[in-house]
Amino acid sequence: MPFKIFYLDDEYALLDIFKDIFTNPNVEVITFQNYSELLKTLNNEKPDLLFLDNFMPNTSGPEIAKKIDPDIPKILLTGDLDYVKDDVFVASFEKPLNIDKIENLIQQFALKKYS
Amino acid sequence: MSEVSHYRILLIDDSKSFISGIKSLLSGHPFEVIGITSPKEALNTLETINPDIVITDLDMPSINGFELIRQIREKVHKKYYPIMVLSTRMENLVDISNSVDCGADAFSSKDNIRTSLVPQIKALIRLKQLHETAIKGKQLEAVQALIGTYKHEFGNSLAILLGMFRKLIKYNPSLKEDPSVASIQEALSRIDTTLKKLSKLREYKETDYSEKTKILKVG
Repeated sequence: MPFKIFYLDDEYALLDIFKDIFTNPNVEVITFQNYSELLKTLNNEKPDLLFLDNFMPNTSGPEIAKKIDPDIPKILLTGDLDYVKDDVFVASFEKPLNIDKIENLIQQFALKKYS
Repeated sequence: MSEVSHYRILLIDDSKSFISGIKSLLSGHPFEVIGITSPKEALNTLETINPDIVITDLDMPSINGFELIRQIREKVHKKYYPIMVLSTRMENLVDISNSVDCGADAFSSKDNIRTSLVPQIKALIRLKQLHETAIKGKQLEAVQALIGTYKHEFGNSLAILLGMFRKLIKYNPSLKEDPSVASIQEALSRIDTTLKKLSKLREYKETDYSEKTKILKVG
């Protein structure tokens, strides 16, 4: 079973870029452009990690994170880390993303899952 | 108020001897007194002199004290100069009231300046400092709000640019050899660094970019 990542962002291009980062066949990335799409999928399957954008139309990453299963580890991607202090996230990263850091984090969670 | 700093007082009085009297009265204090006998000249040079406070007489030929204060308040908007009226007519309550209406902040009678002038000056300097601190705080708030907005708007666009660029190179490795590609990448990371610095801005200094433009000194 591959390591499953969900990513919600209202910017389609960022979802596209994100998917392209992971060429490893053991990592499956599923992206969502709005909250309702994400919710629908969450009813049937759970990711190993959930990445959330901070500012989205009418809502925010922290707001959504609080409504979702607390057992799913959530990561915030934001334009400005300074304005986010929320322990609902296991980690947060500033945009533009540092890909090495994100890959490291995924590796840590993957190790936990398969060990 | 620190006694070490020097504060500049612009004193307007048509009597040269009164000006020198005040100068010697204040000589032991950290005040630099610039005396001008013509209210018109005072108006023209106020912003160049850029005093911490203004002290003016009421009875003067050509432009009287009321008119001078009114014109300062009407014409000078870049900075707030606290104004004190120093007059022999202070026993007249109508004068006090008129001075306030024209824009004065304090009043004193020439009769008791030996005891009351220095504390009044100190109070006015404090007023000016409070005013400047408040303005700076408001400006910083506005600057930060502006930066927050830009950072959010630019942050996503920049993330897309950098990400797409990386993708482009990944699928067209030969692009790596092209020097213009390296220049674009460098420029993009410069924008990224500047945006990050801007978002951490907690105080700011202006610096002259050209004669007409001021820019923020970042980091």
